[in-house]
Amino acid sequence: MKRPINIHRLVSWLVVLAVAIGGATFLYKLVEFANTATHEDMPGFALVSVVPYLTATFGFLLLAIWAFLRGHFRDIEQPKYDMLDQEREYDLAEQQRSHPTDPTA
Amino acid sequence: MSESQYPQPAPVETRLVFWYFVAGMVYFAIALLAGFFFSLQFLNHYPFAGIEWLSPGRVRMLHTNAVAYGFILNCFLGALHWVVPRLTRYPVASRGLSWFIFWAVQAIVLATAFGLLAGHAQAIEWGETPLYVDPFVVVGLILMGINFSVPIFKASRKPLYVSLWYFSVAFVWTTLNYVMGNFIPQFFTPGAAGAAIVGLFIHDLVGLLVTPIGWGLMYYFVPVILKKPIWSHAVSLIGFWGLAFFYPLQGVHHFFWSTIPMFAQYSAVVSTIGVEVVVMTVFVNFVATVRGRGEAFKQLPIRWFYTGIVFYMITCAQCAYQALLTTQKIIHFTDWVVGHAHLVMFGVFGFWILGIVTELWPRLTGRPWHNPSLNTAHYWLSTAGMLIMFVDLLAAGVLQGYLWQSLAPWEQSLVASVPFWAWRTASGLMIIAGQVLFFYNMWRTAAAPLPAAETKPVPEPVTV
Repeated sequence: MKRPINIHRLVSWLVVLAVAIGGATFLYKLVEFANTATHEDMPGFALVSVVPYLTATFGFLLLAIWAFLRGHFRDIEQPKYDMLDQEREYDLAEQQRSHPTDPTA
Repeated sequence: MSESQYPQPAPVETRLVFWYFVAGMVYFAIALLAGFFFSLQFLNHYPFAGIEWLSPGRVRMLHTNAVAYGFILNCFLGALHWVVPRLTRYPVASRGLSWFIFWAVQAIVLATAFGLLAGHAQAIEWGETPLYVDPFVVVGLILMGINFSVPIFKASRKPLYVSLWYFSVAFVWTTLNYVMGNFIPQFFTPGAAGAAIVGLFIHDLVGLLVTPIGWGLMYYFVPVILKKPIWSHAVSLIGFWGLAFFYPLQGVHHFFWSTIPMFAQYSAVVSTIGVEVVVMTVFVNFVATVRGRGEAFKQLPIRWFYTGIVFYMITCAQCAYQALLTTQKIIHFTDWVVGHAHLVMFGVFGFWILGIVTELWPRLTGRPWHNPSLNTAHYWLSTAGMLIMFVDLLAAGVLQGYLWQSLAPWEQSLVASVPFWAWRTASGLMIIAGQVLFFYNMWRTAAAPLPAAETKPVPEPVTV
């Protein structure tokens, strides 16, 4: 009896395959990067162009972790409603002011 | 009922916003004139021939720097002083510091302008600011970061709205980027390595200063004017974090086919195409937000914003296409790149600023627009001029690229380019005409007598 193809399993294996191929090419690039970084003709060249990127990315990783731990991604849609509620309050407050200030004065 | 139970006005320093916009428009006028005069050089009608400090090369740098640091930075700072206190409910760190920064920015931009005309430019594209001005820029950026970070940090007890995420990192990114781009190539890594750093600097200046502030402002102004929340806050955050992780390594795509190692060039291709996925999330979010609200385009600010958003999509699609080594063989060093740069800086960020000023100017001055029809004419002249200039320079770039590739004599490519350069000047004049109408309208609005106090209609409830 022929077994039916499990589409979820198939997709999962395809994802694993894609990640594995991507990872292998990334590894190759890392080796190439290490070779270039120590090459005598261009001392420090690769380090200088890549280190700022890695430093910035590491900073963002820390920021993302901080935001996650502070619960910034928990009720993720709420800020868009809060923002408009605040604006409505500001509009009401502005309406109560009798005369706008004159910034050109 | 205690006073605290009444709605409290936003802690916005409106005078500061007003003067930032005024300063931005003054530099914009200077940038437009410099661009126009420089374009005449290509038609052999340069009016300042023989005057060294007004030589075309220096006037070109005045044009680009006045746009980036005079026009865009001033107007963005004005808009941030409006938006950040409103989103956080807290004023900026210090009112005195805000005014100090305002005057410091004007002094730095003026010093840059005079330095460029005097021939003291640093050999770094978009970083031509003279070396003796650079330390003051870094200090200024740090102070700006502190001034805006304080209210954002206070507000971070609750989940932050996406605009605040964008704003919070813009000045940190830019300070690091400015130090890297202006000092490392100058003192530590000359040659090809320095060029790679300059490539990162140029692109990150657009992507990590102008882009995050620009998108942060759009995420504020579009929902507020539509009185409708953004379609998906989650998707907007994907856009933010995607920008953070994908953007920084793209800069090398400015130097394809150079001596920079190919692994760095290939990485730039991949990350440039990768950022398109991020851009698509942002684009879809804004289109979905305005969906079913066709009448909103009768409001001029929304028209400016969405025209800029469409132009942004075009420029980003161009980026992915340009960042292919095959395409670079044709377009590198041609007017194609000039067309792309104009669409990014004026068609996207300039349009967003003009939309913001159109929205806020009556509120800042307390007076209705002197003549709304002039604003409509301003929009159409700017849009038509921008489109003509963009298509014209693209076509010129392709023509030049193929002529150079065919090894035709250099003079032949110059002769073939002249009609395109004439159209560039004509389209520039259209843009200038639009801005003249706008400046006149701004002035007449601000100079009009204050209208008698009247009751404003209560805003419509938020619709979801």
